[in-house]
Amino acid sequence: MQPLHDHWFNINRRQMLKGTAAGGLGFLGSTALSQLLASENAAASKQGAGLPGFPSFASKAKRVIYLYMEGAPSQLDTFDYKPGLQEMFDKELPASVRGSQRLTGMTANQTRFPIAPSIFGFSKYANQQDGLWVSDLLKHTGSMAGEICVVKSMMTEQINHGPGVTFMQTGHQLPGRPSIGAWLSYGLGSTNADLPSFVVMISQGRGQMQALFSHLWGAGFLPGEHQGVQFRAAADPVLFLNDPKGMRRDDRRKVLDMIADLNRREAENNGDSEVLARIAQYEMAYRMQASVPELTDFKNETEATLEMYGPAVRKPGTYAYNCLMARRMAERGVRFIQLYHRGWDHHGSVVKDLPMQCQDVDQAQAALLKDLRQRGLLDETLVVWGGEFGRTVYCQGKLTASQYGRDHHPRCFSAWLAGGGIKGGISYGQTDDFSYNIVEKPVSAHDLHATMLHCLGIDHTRLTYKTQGLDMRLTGVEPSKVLKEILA
Amino acid sequence: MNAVNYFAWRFFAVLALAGGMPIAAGDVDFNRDVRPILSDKCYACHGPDAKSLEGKLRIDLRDSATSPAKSGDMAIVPGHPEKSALVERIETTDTDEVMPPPKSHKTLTAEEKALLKRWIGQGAEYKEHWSFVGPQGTEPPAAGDAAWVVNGVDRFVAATLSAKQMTPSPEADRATLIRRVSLDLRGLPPTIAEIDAFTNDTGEKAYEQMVDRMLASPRYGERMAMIWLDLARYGDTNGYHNDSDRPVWLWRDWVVNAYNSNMPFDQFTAWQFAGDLLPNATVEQKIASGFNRNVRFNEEGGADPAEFLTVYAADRAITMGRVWLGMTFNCAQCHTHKYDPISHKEFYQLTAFFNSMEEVGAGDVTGFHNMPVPPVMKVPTAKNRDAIANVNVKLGEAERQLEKGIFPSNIVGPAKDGETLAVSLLKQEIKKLRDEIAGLENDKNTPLQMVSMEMAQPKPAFVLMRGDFQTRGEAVQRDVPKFLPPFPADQPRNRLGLARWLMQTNQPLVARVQVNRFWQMLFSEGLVRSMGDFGMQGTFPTHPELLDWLAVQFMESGWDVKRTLKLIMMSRTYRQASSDTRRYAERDPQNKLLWRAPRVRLQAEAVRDNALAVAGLLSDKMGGPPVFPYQPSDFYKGKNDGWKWKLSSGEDLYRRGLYTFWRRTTPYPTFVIFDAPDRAECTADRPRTNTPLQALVTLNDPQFIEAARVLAQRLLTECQVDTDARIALAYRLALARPPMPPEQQVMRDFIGKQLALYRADTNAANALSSAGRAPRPETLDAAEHAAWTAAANVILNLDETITRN
Repeated sequence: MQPLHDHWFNINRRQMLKGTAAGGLGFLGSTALSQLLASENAAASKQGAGLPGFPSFASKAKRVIYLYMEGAPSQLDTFDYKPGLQEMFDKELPASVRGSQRLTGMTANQTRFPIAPSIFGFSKYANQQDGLWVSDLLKHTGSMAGEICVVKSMMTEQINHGPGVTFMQTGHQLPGRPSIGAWLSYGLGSTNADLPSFVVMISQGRGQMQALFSHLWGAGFLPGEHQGVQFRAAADPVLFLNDPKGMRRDDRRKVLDMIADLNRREAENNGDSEVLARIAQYEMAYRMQASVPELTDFKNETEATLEMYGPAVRKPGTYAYNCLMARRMAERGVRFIQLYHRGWDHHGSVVKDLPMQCQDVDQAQAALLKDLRQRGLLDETLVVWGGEFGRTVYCQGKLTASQYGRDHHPRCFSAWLAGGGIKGGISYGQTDDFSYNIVEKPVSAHDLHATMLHCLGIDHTRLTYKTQGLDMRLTGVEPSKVLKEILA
Repeated sequence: MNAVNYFAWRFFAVLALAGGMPIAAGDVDFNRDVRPILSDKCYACHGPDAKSLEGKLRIDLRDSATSPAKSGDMAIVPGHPEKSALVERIETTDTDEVMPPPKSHKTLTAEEKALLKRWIGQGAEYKEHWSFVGPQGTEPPAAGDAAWVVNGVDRFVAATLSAKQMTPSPEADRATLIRRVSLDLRGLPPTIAEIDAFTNDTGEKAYEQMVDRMLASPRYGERMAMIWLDLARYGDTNGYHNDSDRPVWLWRDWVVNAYNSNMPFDQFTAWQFAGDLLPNATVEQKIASGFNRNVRFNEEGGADPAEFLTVYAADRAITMGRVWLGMTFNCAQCHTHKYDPISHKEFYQLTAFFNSMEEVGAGDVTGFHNMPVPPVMKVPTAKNRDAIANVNVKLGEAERQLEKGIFPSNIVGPAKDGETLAVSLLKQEIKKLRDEIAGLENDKNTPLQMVSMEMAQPKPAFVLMRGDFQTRGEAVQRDVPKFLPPFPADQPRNRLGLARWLMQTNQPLVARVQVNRFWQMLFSEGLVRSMGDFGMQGTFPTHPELLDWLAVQFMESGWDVKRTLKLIMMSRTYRQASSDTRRYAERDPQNKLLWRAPRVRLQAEAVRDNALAVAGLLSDKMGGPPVFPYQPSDFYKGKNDGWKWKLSSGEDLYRRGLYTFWRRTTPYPTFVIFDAPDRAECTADRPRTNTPLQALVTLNDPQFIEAARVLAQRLLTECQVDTDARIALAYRLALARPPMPPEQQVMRDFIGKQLALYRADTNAANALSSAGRAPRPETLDAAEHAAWTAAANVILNLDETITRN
């Protein structure tokens, strides 16, 4: 039995004894019953509680929206502006730059590594420093330059998607570790007893798509209630949320009351707190049945808001729709909101695929930042954007004046952060003239994770869980650092 | 969470370190009391890993701990805590001096400090780690009430209970017992006939015979496989990237059959490790060797085969460590183990046994999607095998005729190309028969199975620095870790020799780890609670002598699994009631002393199997390709559009969960919600959570709604008496017991109200009473059927229904 369960065991037993002292659980009237349930829920439901002592220091951010770009967007064509490359079109990437970097099986056998400068224009947007150059594919995002902090010196050791995404999401390349959202649910709990503390939404891109795995939002060795709950673009956004045909809400209520009544009799007989915990979980399920449809109903959103996110917001399952959902969840206190947008794996044609991908995300993510800001939520919501690695400056396949693809590149890539705890309007770190190597301030996934936890008031070395005899943590055993310079 | 409870938890955590019970002021036992503290708080910097050793001091070795340092100080001066530097360092308030240092985020409690001082005061005796010393078959103590004790299990349990002035719970009632035994051994509830037979059997051997019947049931093998498949990381897909399907279900069926035929565990082990290396390996033995192929396979284009070959070999060594030895070998993949005596080099010596199998490393340039990953064996179906045998007889006859020149006398014709017509016809016949055999052998429906195949020459093996396949250290030879018995000189240094080495009776861990798993299956927790870790960081056994006694019994029985399970199940300890969880809730909240039977929520697959069985929907068809029961049709949408869920039909919709298609990267959601692992790697212990999503499954999952609807029609058609009789039947089907009068009354009221409701709403009644695809008798009244469906939905959602009591 894990320590957390021990804890609930105690608290539940105490709850139960209190209930018994109040006159015997099985014989309470229904009003008293629902009051008892309410108090059971408040205490026994994991949603209300995190770990004692967390957050361990005052923090700006209360929650996270993680905009994950699955497939690895090209940094060269988005945020890592390298105008000098234009003159080097089709020149061989100097071996001294490439060094001993491992290549994937896709380009390892290429005889040439010709430089492919970005074909897209870049514009400069004012920020708190001397301006931020952003690809013209991301004009809306560029317009938010004053809010975002672009990290140009992200790096990873992973070169394939499976391990790469897994590392970014769980701090380890092999499946089986808890994802960041699960860690935060475990450490901080949730502030909404009617919704899960960790929610996942997926949208489809238009390029080559890699499979997404449920372990990316898994709880790993943490108690299973911390795993991400996927919200789907379906009639039942949460699996099995809808009552069966022929059972109305009030019928369902009667069925639940009946189950609770019989379960409570059982608890009274055997004194097992697990039974009471189950009653509480059934009540939460019932509340979710009401709170989720309310959450997904956009009828009270103004036209102006909807327009800000763009036309795709009206179509469930799009990135724009999920961005608006993210804001609504943020308002309702969901702790960790994970979006995945698929389709950034542009081996074949950055030229053809990247504009479509950017079109999917650009307006909506800028709108999300504006919307959070106008509601006063941006200061308390940490927004993170990025993929699992970068892409090569050299062309994969045949380079022409109008066509190029890029292979995986773990040595450097770009991500951005905004909102709670982050100093907006700056860039951090620098790559060489080829966007191949980092020349200044490298940032590992663990550094990013440590910084994210810091924004939420958590010392990443203290949020641990004992399993297989080890105190495990999100950031692993090697030292990692909080990026103090990007903190507000 | 409030502070009081947090501290209560910390307090229990301290007790847990001490094997569950507060330590009285008496003798301190190094293994039970001291090592857990030293290991957790000190060994990371003062333990086996030379690379992280601080101050050249090893606290895990008495010689080092009691030798003077450069400064002249001695960490431990036996008998003299006041002179021991260790004591000074743990007691100081100077943050630069205090141990463990603040940056470790570890602290010692006052109790732990007192314990260490008392231990040093008593002479600081070290003992070898308990689990590395072979089990001693200590005779059970003469403890316990003679009328209560059945066998050795009870004597050990009675001894620990009476030492605390505690008594066991009374025996569970018959209904609870048969449901418990049935769920434990078959993963299914007992039938009404079985309940009646047992509860009416007044014979002395009634209980034993009931256990024997359950052990003999073919469902037993399925139940045991549900545990083994987690350990063996069985999945129907490759587990990386595109996660394509793979043919491995014949191995799964082999496991079920092996358990049902009670294959001895040593043989079970050898076949899986090295069935292919056995002399004249049979088809079954080769199928068993598919165990090694259960590792995932990276089919991604661009993935480096060399990298993944090292991953697969390491996974096999890690799985062997976890499943057979209860050790966390994975830690030694990058560096010498921080706690246990497994060096970095030893990890790669062990891994070397598994690095020379014929296999594909990874997708390489183009990817390796939607095709079987070689080596794959064709295993003709029994029907085709018979047909081939028949044709072979005819072929043999025809060949014999040709050879001996025996031709039917009535065939006369012109010779052609120097052959008589008879010869030419016979040759045609032979060709036809051969084609027929080839056709049967190459039948496109012939099942495939991934199997193990060894290369002719072992590949060289190296230590991999930090586990990185590109950074090779020294070359290593196949060998086993030194803390275990040496590799036998007369065995080949291959997988087969390794399996035989594992099953030597001088192995300290193997039998203990297995019986601990049997114990967990029957008591929800092991005697060692850290199921996958018998090392320094694992928990000390709650009943060390009982564990050892069982381990010896298991080995002496010739690794007889059924016999060992029966031994435990015959005990009074197993037969105790679970119904009073209050009695010693304060003194022993986790029931470590076994003063009652546990109450356990069923395993994911069993939650569904149980509902189907209660409804009478469950198919008893065994084996075969995986099946595709109800899953939301858009469940894969957005994850991978190439994945298809070919919804099964007919009885395949209602097979046991064991047979459900297991997509590793996105497993069957109903199971995941109930804590099933993804089986990407070996899982020694499933967590058991209690969440709102679980409630939504049993309330609303179409499978569970259909089960409620079919249970309702079963009640209405099988029982014509009255409402009370139907409620009683529902209770006996789901809980094996009749309802208590108050339960009967509230259910009756509920059904009455539901009936009124559905009488008034025909559409609702029609909708609910026709959920799912299973047939429905037309004669049933829709409103009545709907009302009973609601009642059945209640029954299938009771805590007691999904709990083994």
